[in-house]
Amino acid sequence: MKIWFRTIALSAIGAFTIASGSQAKAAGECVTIAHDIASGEKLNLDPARSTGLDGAGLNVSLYEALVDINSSFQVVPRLATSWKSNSDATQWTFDLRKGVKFHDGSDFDSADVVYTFKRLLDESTGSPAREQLSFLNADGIEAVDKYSVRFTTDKPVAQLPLMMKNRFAYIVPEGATTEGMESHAVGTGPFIIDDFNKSSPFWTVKRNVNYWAAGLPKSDCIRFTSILEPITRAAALISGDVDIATALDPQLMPMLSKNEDITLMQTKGGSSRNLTMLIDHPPFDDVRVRQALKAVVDRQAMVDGALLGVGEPGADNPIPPSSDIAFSHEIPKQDIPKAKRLLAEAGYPDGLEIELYVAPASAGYMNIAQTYVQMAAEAGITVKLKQVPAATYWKETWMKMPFVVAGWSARHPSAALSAPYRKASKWNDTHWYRDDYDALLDKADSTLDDNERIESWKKAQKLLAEEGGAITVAFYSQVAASRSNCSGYKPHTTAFYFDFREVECK
Amino acid sequence: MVTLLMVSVVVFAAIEIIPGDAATRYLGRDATPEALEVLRERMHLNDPAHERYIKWISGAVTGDFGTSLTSGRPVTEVLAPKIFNTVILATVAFLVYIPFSVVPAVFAAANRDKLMDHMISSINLLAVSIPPFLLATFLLILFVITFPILPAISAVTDESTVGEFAIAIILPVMTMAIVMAAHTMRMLRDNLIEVFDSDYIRMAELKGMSKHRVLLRHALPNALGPSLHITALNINFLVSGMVVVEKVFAFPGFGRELVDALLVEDQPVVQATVLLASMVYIFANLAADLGSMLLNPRLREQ
Repeated sequence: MKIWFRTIALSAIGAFTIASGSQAKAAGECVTIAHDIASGEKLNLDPARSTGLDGAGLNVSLYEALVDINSSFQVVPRLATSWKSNSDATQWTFDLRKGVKFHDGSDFDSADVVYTFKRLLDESTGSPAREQLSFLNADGIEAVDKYSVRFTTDKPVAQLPLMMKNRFAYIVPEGATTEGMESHAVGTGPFIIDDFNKSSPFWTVKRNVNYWAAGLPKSDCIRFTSILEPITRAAALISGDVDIATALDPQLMPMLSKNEDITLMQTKGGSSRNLTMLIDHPPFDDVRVRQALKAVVDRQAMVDGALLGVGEPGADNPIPPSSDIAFSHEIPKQDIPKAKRLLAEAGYPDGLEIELYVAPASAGYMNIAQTYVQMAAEAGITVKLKQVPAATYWKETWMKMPFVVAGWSARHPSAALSAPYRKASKWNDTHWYRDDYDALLDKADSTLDDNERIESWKKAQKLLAEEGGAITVAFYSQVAASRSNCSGYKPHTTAFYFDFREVECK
Repeated sequence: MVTLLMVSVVVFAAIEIIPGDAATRYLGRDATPEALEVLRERMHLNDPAHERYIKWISGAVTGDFGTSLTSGRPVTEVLAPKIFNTVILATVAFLVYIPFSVVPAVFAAANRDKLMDHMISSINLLAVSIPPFLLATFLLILFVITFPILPAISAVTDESTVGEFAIAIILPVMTMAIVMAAHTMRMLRDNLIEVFDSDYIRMAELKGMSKHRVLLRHALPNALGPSLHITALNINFLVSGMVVVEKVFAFPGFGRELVDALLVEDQPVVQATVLLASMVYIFANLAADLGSMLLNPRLREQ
């Protein structure tokens, strides 16, 4: 029997030493980033055909866009250094950065930009960017000289530089094809990919030694990996197997916040969390009912309770009250007497009974629905929860049922105000068809005067807040985490944008 | 064979009735009517279902499972490295499972109704009742967070050395082995005790044979018989348990690939994985039946 014990003990100690040996971080080792990648098979290195979030981390490392958008939705230079338009905003000229080289050593110039955008607009490329860039006219894209490109549009596009950035419009070298880029990326980005293997659990990119920005990137090498299980992702951070997690389940925040080795990061603003009514559907067709349903919400309580404090209160329109361009920085207060009064005026003095459809389709949805049921009850409104499967939620329930929980990822104001609310939008999820509203957005889109544009946006926000069909209870922050010895990573308000140039771990 | 064919029909039909086709799911919110049509054409989704089934099953028989919708690579190429990883993981788990079930069973039976037996039985009862994903999470917290001696993710690559591979699979192997061993150990202990009470063991003891010798030479081989059947059934559990364990520990194997493929609704990959898993299942059951026939002469005559 003693021999048994000795063998077991020895092998346990053996395993212990080997295992702890592998934990030590060698110098020059890659920074490991846990990224939302559902399946390696889904990755492809052609930015025009990137799918969902999966390829976003790789693409931003390998390729660059003309411009970047920072977390407060300002346009900042990247491959374009400056831009200007003619007086009626129908012609935009971008000056390009000089001395930039692609990974294969060729020079970056205007021909590559013209090729990239013509390719995105070409139907045979099959890029979703074609619709997003529909304000461009392929025939209106021309190289003025080696380092400047002109876009001539059919209609005035005052926000063109902002709208040029999406997750597909990364500059590729002239002549690049989908087949060629499927597994071999040639961009101007801060990192280079040598060997792309879909089956591997790690996707490794190495420093581009010819990168144009001095001192960047700070890391020699980054490897992306996919960890689907939230608890494993947190454990990997704690154990140091992973240095940075670009997204984190907020429920794990209390556990991680106590750990000194982990730094948690949260964005201001983020994805909206809405209770969405179809306003041509009774009883929501009465604006007083909509206002009553908005008045019952205690927004701070929603953030603290339903979203575990990870976010900020909303004010029934897509712009967070904390934003510089919000029509009001005040957060609407819960007002039960007002809600009761409005309901009585609308013909429901004895209360109202409605159904709210919900699925665990995204973080916080179930909690928000359950919290709303209780808040509404205070004003005599009986909300019956109808839980449906998450898998078919966006297809079968959202935009079909009169009252649902929904959300929109953060966008720049122009897109945030138009995608869900323009008359012509295919995602108008409240049936908000208002010509006066569209006119405000048209005015904002066509003016080159910043103040005038913001004024129009504020009026549009106010209209939505007072009469619209979406109760925006909160904005849900992006949560990321890194090991405390790592620096330089900041989560972006929109889920799709990343920047790993400043990332380093010591 | 007939069973397998039935399984293939069920697998195909199950994916067919999921709302939304593969093209819409693949493109998600990026879907534009034109992009959808291009993709549907490329995936042959416009052909009638029975034609696609016949095309699929006749390919599958020759080992051609079509191409993955997400990557466009042949399904066999996608799955081969994952199957390789999982086979290693499963084999090691199986090898570890044997001592995990035999050793405690022998200790418990040899010390019947003593403290040792009660302790082992209590732990065993716990192991029987705990679901695999919970056990995996528990081991993860214990060995990664509380006592940080093992890596959290079991992500092995082509370049991993044997040593790295071995460390990477410790936690998944432990999870699988414990869950499988729990049932077998319980059964083996009871069988051993039964055998201990039999006349020939008494005889051996009376002959003055040492206790260890009686236990290992005479009692154990005779008690193993019924446990073999449960072992074959445990192979079935290996298949389903892999899905859970590989997901928790981010191990790049067959089970994880199935989860991934389901998430992105990669129909050909899902079909191939489920069909292959069913094959293992059917053959393990067959082996279990044949095995017990060989061990038990009474069954053989029927």
